[in-house]
Amino acid sequence: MMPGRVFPFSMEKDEKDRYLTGKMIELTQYHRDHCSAYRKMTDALGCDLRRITHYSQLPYLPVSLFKDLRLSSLEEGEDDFKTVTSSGTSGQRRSQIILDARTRTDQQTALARIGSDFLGTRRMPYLVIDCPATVGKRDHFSARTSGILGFSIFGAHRTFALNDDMCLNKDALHDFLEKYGRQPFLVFGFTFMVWKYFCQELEAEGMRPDMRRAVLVHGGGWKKLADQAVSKEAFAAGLGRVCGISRVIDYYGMAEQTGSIFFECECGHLHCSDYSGILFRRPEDFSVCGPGEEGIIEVLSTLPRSYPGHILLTEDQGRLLGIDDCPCGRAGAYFEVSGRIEHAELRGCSDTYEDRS
Amino acid sequence: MTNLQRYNKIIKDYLGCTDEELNDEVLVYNRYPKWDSVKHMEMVAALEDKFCVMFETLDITSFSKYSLGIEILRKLGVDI
Repeated sequence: MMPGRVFPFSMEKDEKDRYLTGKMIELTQYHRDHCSAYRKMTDALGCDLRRITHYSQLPYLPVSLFKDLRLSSLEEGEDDFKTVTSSGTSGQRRSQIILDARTRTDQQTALARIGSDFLGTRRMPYLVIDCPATVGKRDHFSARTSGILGFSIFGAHRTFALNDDMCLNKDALHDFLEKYGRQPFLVFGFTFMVWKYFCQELEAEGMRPDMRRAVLVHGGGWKKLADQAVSKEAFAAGLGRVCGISRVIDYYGMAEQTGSIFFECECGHLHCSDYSGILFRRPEDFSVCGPGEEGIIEVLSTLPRSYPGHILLTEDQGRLLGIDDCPCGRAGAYFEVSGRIEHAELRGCSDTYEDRS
Repeated sequence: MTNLQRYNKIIKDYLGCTDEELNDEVLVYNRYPKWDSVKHMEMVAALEDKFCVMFETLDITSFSKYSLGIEILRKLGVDI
């Protein structure tokens, strides 16, 4: 397949509801046939696929389940797969996600199409706010490794801004900006890393590099920054002050669900692509929230085939802002994430580097 | 050396494959054992260097079989 230039934000509500409901029923059946643990769980939840009329009626797994169980829907005898571990510091349990070749390839195609819609199809010089060691370990794929490698398809001349001890690599940064700083370039990193090991370091060192042409893409959660009372606005203002970055794109996504990556548009709204679905549920009875009402986020993806992660209840909360009518012109649902639900385990991608200071 | 020979040399150097393996049945991204996402990006960078071209983002994900690399290079104006 030569993936063409498909616009991944084209389905309007009625078409999307029909499409996603059909896909989710098919995937639920597929995983029931291929994963006995999933079949038992969905049996216990009383799942009768013949009676489903909308994807919101389908059973969802809590995302934390992947920390306890290694769920696989691989064909018998299939040994060609990779295991991706989610974030979590050493004291925390990590999710384990099994990805076969097809699911990995589909994921990259989806990321390329979705990301190109925000970043353009031309690749830009790529500055990573992380250290080379993060991608050095081939046997162990953390969420950070996957993020840096995944976003490599949007970049060229990849350069790491940090040394392996997490201090700023001033020479690398200087050389990169010298060579590419006068054209648009891509900066990628996990939210906490960008703040603590880049923005605050530059500030402490009194460095003011000119990064006005940069597009910063970051994700991985606000939990740790919220603890330090750093708001989204303070984050953007800090970057603007220290290095002149004005274009900041936040994204929402998780290792546990391939294919679901939600980028923030020019209007500051996170967008759901044709590959995904999003729902918000009331914590008291798990019924579906109305528009604008805050609830627990459920994510759906058409891609996971090697493990039953197509419908997951996250530990985050947020609210639906609208469907099909964002001023940016993209069809589909758009939403905001407001934080973690109470009592959820502390977690977030960029938390994986333990603070040793 | 022809451009096809240059292409084949890069593929063999990065994937460690033999001449006999240079075909679409064997060399499939994410299936051929050494052709993972890390090698993929290294190989793209090497092809870009050698042929003085720049793959677009979607070219990188399209390059999923031996022959598709040749197709993309042609699209980018390489006589191969």
